[in-house]
Amino acid sequence: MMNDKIIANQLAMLPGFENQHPLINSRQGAGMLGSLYELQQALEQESGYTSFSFTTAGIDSGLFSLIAMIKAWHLRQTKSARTEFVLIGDATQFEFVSAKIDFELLTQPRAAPAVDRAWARLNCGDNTAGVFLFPPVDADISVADVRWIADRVHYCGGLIVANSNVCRLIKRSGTDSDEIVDLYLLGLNQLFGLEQVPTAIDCFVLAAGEQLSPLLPVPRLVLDDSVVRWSGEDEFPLSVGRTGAFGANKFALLSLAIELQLRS
Amino acid sequence: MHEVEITRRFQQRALNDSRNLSFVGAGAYHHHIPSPVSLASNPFTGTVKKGVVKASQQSRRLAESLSDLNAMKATYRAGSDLIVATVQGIGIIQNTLKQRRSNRILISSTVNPFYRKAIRGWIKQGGIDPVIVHYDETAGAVGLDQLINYDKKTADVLIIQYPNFFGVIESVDEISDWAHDRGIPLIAIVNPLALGALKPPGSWGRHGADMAIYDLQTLGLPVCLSGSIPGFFSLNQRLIDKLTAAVKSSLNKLDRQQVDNWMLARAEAYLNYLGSTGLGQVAQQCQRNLDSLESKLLENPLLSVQFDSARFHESVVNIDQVDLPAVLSLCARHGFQIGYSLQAEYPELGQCILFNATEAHLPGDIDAMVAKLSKVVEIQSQAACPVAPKF
Repeated sequence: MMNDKIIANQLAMLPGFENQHPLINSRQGAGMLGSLYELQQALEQESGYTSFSFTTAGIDSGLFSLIAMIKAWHLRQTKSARTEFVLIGDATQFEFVSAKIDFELLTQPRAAPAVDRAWARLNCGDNTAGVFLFPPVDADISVADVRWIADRVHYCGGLIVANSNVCRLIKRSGTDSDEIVDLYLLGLNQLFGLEQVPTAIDCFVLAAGEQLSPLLPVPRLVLDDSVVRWSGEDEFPLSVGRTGAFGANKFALLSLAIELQLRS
Repeated sequence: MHEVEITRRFQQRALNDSRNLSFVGAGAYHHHIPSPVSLASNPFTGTVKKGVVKASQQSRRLAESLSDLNAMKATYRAGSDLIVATVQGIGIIQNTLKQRRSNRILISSTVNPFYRKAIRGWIKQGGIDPVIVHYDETAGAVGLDQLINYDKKTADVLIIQYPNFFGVIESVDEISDWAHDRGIPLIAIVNPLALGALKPPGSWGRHGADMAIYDLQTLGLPVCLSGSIPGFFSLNQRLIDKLTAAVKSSLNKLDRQQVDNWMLARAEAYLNYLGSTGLGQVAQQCQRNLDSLESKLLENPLLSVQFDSARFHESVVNIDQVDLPAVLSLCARHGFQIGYSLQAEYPELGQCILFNATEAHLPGDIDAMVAKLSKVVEIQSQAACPVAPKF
């Protein structure tokens, strides 16, 4: 497995990819863009979603984008912004400093079961903008738990965001995940079950159902007349905007796309 | 799929993607990466050869090198990229302002437009109003006359870039003194490689910039990584004195955040390998190549330099009487990415191209690109008949 990763990294570092300027036009970067599009197609299969936005290197921009999307969605629905976010599982460990913008975090105690229904009932209310359900890999959680918390937050008028573990859990159960979860922040190594290099962090992607898809951040990878290209704000006017200067960490994504092919 | 088949497939794709010689900069630069640097640090260096180095130790070492380079007091790793670092920097400064916060941020229009769009997206969510300060049209730099109406009651921070998006070296002493006299903290987004030849932000004017934020891509990292490299910022003593205990503890916490540690190792290896003398030599070579590129471009009477200020890394060149997108596309078809068109981000510079030259461009590269561009411009400028049809 580690060998696949090393080969994938070496290929991703070939001069044609490594020296590819982020503002190059799509025809001149067709090799890299095509490879990233193949990764996006693999993501469609794995997650059951069709709209994605690759985030920048760390988790900060992904979290920020989610919060921005949830706020924008509430403003569009009710013209009023909700201010509370409920964190369950690993979401409590994230560094929210950079994304802490006009909202309050309610954190489910770590000692509780994966989804503490009594605690959630008490803390999800009319001011809940969204629930971040990020159970760790070894969490004792079932699809019924996910469905229960999703129903609860939807009943309160909020949205539910989940991680790769929930996505895999739902996929294995054969349920259509779009019916339960509104938004995903997917760690790709985790989603595809790949080993993580300790000196590099996971790549993250945002996945949204049809309803929230227009709000996803740009740039987004699109297939247009058999040409793959990055699209910007002008094509997605409802997007929450650009959350990184030049988009995703293309080297890490390309390396992952190659590794997936090596393992298939 | 078989490994040989996949290797061949990606080698072919990489080959197809690498045909053009690029003079595009605009915030992402092709620099030479010395082989000892690239061999010493890749994603597997820490795991395969030396054992995993803690991210916090790695970032501390790099932070110390950056503090020295910039003549600033203390440097911290801040978030996953330059944009997050800038937003955190704004938050930290606003925290020191307490009650007198106006929630208005001044951003120079000479800051990279892609940075501006991203920063704007983040801060608008927090109810902060970004005001774009228009540049001086002769100098291509921050126009102090545009700032005349602002003081500490009406603006929380002024953000500039050094050198700016047009490659122009801002009048940093003047700006820094103006900002200090008005009580507006100054944030500078800095290209650390340029500091091999330019004045460090800690020494600007009488008091220096309050905060410097770094784009580390120029320190030995490939151009495809632009925008996804961990962020760092430096603070001067005056700002550190104003920080609350809570902010100081949060700054120390940021160092423990997960980032791509190998990138930090690479930037540190680059700085160590070159040293301050080597960094100066690279910066000077970039400057020589830009001067050479400019002088060769200006041999064509249809081409003129747009701004009259000193420049580093990039130059804005106006090309008259041609259809610019057609020129760019024709040159690309002949193997040259000649530069970045400013039409979309700066409509008033619709006939201008941002040319970049670094130490990685050889004299032959510059000659070949200029020759091709001149030929294409000549054909394009003759394409339309100057005599209007009678009927």
